[in-house]
Amino acid sequence: MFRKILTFFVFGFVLLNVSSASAEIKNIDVFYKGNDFYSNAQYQEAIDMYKSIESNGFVSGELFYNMANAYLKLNNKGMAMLYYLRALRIMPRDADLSENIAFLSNLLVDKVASNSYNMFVEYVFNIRDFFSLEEFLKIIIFFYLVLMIVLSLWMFFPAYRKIFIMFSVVTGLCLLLFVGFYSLRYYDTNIVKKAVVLSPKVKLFYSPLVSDNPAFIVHEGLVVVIEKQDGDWMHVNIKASDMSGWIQKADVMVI
Amino acid sequence: MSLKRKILQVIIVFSLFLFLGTGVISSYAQEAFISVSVDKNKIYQDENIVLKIVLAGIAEGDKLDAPNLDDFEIISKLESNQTEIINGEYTYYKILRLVLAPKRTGNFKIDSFVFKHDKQAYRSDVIDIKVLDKQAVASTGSPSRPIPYGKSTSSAATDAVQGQPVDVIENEPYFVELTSSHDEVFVGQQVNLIFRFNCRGIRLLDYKYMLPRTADFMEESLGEDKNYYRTINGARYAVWEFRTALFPLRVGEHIISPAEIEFIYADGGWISNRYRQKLVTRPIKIKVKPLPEENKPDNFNNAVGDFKVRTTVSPKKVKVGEPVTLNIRVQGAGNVKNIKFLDMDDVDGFKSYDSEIKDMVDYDENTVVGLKTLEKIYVPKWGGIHSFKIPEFSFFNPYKKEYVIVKSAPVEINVAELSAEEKRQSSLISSSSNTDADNTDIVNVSRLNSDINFIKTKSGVFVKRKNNLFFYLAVFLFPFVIVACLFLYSIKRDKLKTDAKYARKVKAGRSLNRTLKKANKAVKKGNVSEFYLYADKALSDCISNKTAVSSAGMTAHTAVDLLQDKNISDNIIEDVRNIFNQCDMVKFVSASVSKEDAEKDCEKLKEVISILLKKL
Repeated sequence: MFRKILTFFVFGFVLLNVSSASAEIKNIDVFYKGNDFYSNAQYQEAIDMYKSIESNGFVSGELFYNMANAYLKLNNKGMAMLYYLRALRIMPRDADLSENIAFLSNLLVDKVASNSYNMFVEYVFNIRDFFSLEEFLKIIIFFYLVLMIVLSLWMFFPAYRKIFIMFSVVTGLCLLLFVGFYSLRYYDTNIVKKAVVLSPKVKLFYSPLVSDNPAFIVHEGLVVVIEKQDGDWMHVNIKASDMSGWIQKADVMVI
Repeated sequence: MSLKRKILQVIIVFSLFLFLGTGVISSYAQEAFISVSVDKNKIYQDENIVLKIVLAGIAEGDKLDAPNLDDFEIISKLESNQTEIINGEYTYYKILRLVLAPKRTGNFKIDSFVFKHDKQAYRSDVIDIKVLDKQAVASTGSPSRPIPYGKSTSSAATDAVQGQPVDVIENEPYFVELTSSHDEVFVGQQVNLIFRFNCRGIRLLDYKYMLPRTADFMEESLGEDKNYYRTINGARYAVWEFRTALFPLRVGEHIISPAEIEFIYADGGWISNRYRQKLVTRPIKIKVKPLPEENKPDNFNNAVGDFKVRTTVSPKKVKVGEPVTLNIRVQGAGNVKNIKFLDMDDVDGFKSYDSEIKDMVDYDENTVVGLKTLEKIYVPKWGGIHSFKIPEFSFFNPYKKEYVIVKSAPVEINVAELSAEEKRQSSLISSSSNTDADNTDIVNVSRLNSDINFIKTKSGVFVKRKNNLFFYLAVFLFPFVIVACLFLYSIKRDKLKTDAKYARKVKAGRSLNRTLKKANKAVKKGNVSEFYLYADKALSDCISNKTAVSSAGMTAHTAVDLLQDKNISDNIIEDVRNIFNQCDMVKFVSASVSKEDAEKDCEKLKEVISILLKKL
């Protein structure tokens, strides 16, 4: 019976890996085709290729980056910013990506200054933005496993308990620290909903109704924070300013 | 010559030597030159001229021999210093300004000043000065007839003829005049346009001056408007003077349209009235001649004026990859904006970069002066002594009416090879910055334009978008469960070590189970005697462990006593006694017991032990 169960699991595991590997190979193939299109200045075809990977449920930072580049070549600044920011969530330390975002920001009509904080807060935010959510999780798992191992050793080697206690305290503090940073990152990524304006010129209103009296106008590529939703409308505010208004959902896309 | 004047001249000459000999002058090797100019070549007897002497590259021990200035009275002198730093090379200038008043009318020459520097003598040009009678009007000028007060201006302006003296109408309160410094000039030569508004006996409140139209000329400012007094026919006039330098662009006869001034003034009475008036000059004709074809250099590039050219190549000793700068400075009177440098030839063994050309225009009294520089960077590709050919520069001097070609001898640049370590570092820099560029591309790296970075050629790891909550939950829970189990195990282990009763209890239970299993096995095999041995042991262990009495020497009698002390029911005690007795019978008397009876006793044994385990 035990052998049968083991065989079932091993077989299932191998099958799963084989199917996953074949999907990976297929995605890489499509990705390279997209790159070829891009190199030949066939940007829309490149986007179609990249999109097909995304529609299969597979994503990567490089995929989003290339899509953003292709959109930018087609002068679609909104979509370009959207995919750059999606890529930034996966590979936050990529120099090319940072440079391209800076380049695109210069092209945008709306120049919004970033919030300024005190040095400590800036430092915390820098660490928060240095790692992706996935990386934070891996770091946390690492410290957690180390802590568990140290605790186990503490139980079975009473002669070295003092050392293990010190080690576990340090590991525990690191774990707590990274759980804190992870929470901040998670809050910024998943709790605070952000969107990018896709339409070239969009009016924002004081209420979720189209009227002749818009509150202000924003342009494509601008990042807005979604505060609440009501039907086809979203109430958004602009980062680093106290301006907020209602915008139609069709004009923006959530990052 | 009066004693006072002699003393003044001696003081001036002495001060010239003094400032040449001061220690502030650098001993750097510089190209020396002298430039002497006057603010105007034609003056009236009651006017002054400013003689400007510029000495460049002077050093300690240099001398300046001044010519005879007996025809002029030296009114004042002014010294100034100027330092210029170009490509790290210092050039010191000493500028001396002498204000000279003519003693009489006529044509005079100011001979060359001789600047002795580094065993060489540099001579300035001879300057011609024409001093007119103060009653005369400049023959080359073209003053218009003064406009009568309160009359129409346009008709009055047509009477005068250019170049003819015009009588000033006596007692007129205001009049205008427009003059040019030359009637006939070469193309590109400077001609000054001077507009004067003269008035007396009125209070000028506001004015607006309209420049004449000069379509065929390029204009340059000659500074701010001047305001001074002059005496005409014994009457003192306030003068507003507007001066513009013109550089003709085309050959031919050109008419300069009339200049206009519109002004508001008040009369001088106690109760003054305000008047608005507009005065117009007559037009001026200027003939522009082509430059002579005779002796025209092949590489002539339309530079007209009086220029000094200085060419430097520095440094002369470099290593491969270090920049060498060619610097050409053209400085002097004339419109430097029109100067075009010849295309530079490529120098063998050097990589050249685009030239940087700058110009700066200023004015010096009546002359437009300027400085035009060309800076070109060359980077040697390999070592050795390279000959650097300096390009020629030619210009037309309209005052001497001749072409001047400035030639310089080739400069030798000693280029040293890089050491092995320097080559390695250079190649590292070059490969990290630009793989296509050669080793010399380490200077002046600048962004030509900006674009996004290229796409990623590697796909990275594709991750399936899914909810990984259960995975991460398992990752966190699994180690936690293991550690919890280990913790419980460690507690149990510690208790076994420290609590003897507990340890015996745990141990007894295990031992009893093992013994019962063996007994059960023996009865199934039909080994009756072995069964009763195990049965005796199991029952003894059970009672001894539960009552904390040693099992050694446990008999039916002691067991019954122990059980009675523990208030166990009589039938159980009877069963225990029977099992013990049966065991003794088999062990000691070798009584024969059937397998069926043994099986019954086995069942009984299990039942009794389970009851005892519960009740004890």
